[in-house]
Amino acid sequence: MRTIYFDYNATTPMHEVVTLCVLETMKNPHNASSLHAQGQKARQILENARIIIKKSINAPIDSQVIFAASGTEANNLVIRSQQQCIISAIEHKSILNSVLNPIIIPVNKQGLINLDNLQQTLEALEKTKDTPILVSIMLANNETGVIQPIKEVAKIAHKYSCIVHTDAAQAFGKIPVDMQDLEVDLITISAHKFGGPLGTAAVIFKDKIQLKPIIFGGGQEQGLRSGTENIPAIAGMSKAVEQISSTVESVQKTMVLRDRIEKYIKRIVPEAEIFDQNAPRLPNTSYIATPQILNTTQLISLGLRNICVGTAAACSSMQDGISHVLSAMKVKESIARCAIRISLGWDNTEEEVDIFLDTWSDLYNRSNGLKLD
Amino acid sequence: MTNNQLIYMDYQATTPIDPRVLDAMIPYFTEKFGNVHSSGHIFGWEAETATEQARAQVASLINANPKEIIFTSGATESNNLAIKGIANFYKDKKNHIITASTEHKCVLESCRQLEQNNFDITYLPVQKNGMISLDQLESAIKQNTILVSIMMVNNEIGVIQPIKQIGAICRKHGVFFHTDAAQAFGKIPIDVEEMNIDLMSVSGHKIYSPKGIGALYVRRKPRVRLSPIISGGGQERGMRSGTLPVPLIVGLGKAAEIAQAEMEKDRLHITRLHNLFMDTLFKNITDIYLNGDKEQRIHGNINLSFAYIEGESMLMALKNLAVSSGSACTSASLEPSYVLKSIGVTEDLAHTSIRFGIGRFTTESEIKIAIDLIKTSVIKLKKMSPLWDMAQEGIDINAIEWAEH
Repeated sequence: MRTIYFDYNATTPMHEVVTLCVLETMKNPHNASSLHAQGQKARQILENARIIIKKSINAPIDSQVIFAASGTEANNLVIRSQQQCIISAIEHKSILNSVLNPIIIPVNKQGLINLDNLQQTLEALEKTKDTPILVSIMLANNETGVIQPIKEVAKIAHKYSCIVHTDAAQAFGKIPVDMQDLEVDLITISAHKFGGPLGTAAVIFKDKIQLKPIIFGGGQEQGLRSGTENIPAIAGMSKAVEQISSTVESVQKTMVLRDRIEKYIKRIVPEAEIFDQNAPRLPNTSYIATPQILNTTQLISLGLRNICVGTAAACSSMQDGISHVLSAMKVKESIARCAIRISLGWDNTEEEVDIFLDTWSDLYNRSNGLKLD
Repeated sequence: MTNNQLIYMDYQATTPIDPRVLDAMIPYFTEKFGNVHSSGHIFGWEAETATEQARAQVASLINANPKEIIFTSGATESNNLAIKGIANFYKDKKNHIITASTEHKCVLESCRQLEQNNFDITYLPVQKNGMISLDQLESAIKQNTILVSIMMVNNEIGVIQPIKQIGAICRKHGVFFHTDAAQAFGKIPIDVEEMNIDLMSVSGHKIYSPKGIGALYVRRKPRVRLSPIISGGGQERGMRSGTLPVPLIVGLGKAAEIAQAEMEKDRLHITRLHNLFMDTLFKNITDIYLNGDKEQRIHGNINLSFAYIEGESMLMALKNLAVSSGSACTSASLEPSYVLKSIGVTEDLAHTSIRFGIGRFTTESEIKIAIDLIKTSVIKLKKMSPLWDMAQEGIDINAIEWAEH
């Protein structure tokens, strides 16, 4: 039986050109710190990758690119460099769990950050703060796909001389991301979310921003991230970044499929909830709850039929059951427990959607015995 | 082999990937691309099975339990996590750490960072042969000592520290023992039980597996606890968050399996070439010195100083050999190596030190070409060397003040 993969927000397959590039680069022993020819070649790959990334994301001329081993590490690097942080309630765990005493801005029922609240918080802090505050709000949420008004966030935050970071791990590769247009000071991207390899991510940041390293040693990455550079992964990431417009375009096309799924489920189960259909969302993501059928049941039943979907963020699925994102959106616990995340990508087809919908409605029709209560 | 082909002799900086390791990884780059943390579907399950197999392969090589293996992005991260993780977890109880002056930069820099946070660090000196003194170690242990961090094999000079004895001393005094085994793992037998190791850092790309992957062994009985340096989704039992790079982990596991099966074969091969290289050079060239102990060392790491020759000219002359002067991560700076300084190598000899690395894929013909090239280069450079002329005239080279680079 063929497998249908609807979990692109967890990780994506690598683009074929990326796979070839990674494997080709792996053939040579590159240590970018070595002075010999192999080392020089490694340094060239590394510096080219920085240029390609900066260009693709339209970073300001004077900005820097630092590579880390994961989006999580990149976010930790940003957050742990600052004394005081303001974040949203729906940030990724790599932000929520690395920040000390944050001020948390709530989101509304649609999963959108409350800009008035942000403005009031900053106004209130204006007199007491002694160091610049970091405002870190994700560009697109990994569970709901809801796109935050980052440009407005940045405008407000900069009025109060804050530093603005956006975790674009989930957005980059699904919608166009332009650092200068968003007016942010720092941005995180993660290669395996846009057809690049696992094991590398980057922080792009304006030159004036001070970061403090987490990992010390040989002083690689301008002293901000020691450790032998993962050259094959970085080469692969840079190759994936080169494809980013076509990736975004192909993800954009999945919206038709996503909308079809949502329409179909809504027709069978009118009380199904989509988080949140009325907010601006990534084109590929649907976070949908059909009351009374637990998401774990759906996940496993679909999984046994070789259909892969997600629940909460991949890193925490099945662990705590309740998504912090849905809690922040004031979704009732009993509904939140029924939410599955469908996230589509470039390889998905009409036919796969047909199979999914048949399988899903079959499960739904036979699920009386599985319902709660 | 043509004259212009590059001969790779930098196995301590990084190693080529073993084709068998690459073969094992390829399915995980292509059809089995799942996120190991997606526990609801087959892609996640495949990824998890592969990850756990790799964990067992790494554990088996060091006589550990798979649950004691935490995957990281490399030895630098592992060393940072071990040292700062222990320090921060136990900081309210104890705040003294003992390490050695010849440790890898990432150990020394982690310690320096802790010093800024009120930790007391003892940097043990080493003897002329590069070995620490066990007596000095034992007498450095205090009531408030929490950790001893001593590397197993030095990256620059290849000496092997007496790990088993260090482990015994640490156990006797109730102090945690961490060892950076980046240059030892997969190359010499390691038994975390017999050696009383509590934490051990390993690296993938030093044992023919990819870059971007490493591991930290963390003892469970008695339990060693760490504060994470990277937080998030709580992967790796909360000690190291971030999506696990499954293909790289599969590569590390396979490399560990091969190393376990072929350690003796590798050792014989490398020792034979090591001896050929050393014997021929020492027979044919005068005024060369091997840095580090002659016996307590790993084969395949040959750090030589060439007297009366300028280091950079020598590197230029040997440009068809991929070698390092100093350790790779610092050689870009061209400063004389702190490791060589620590073992009392004089500045002129430190400037001309070159590390020749021999590994699994080094061939006899490569070694022979390297030997010929070194021989002719030394003769040529000595003829051009003002130092050699000065020495012939009886001037003391060590009395010369060297200009800053």
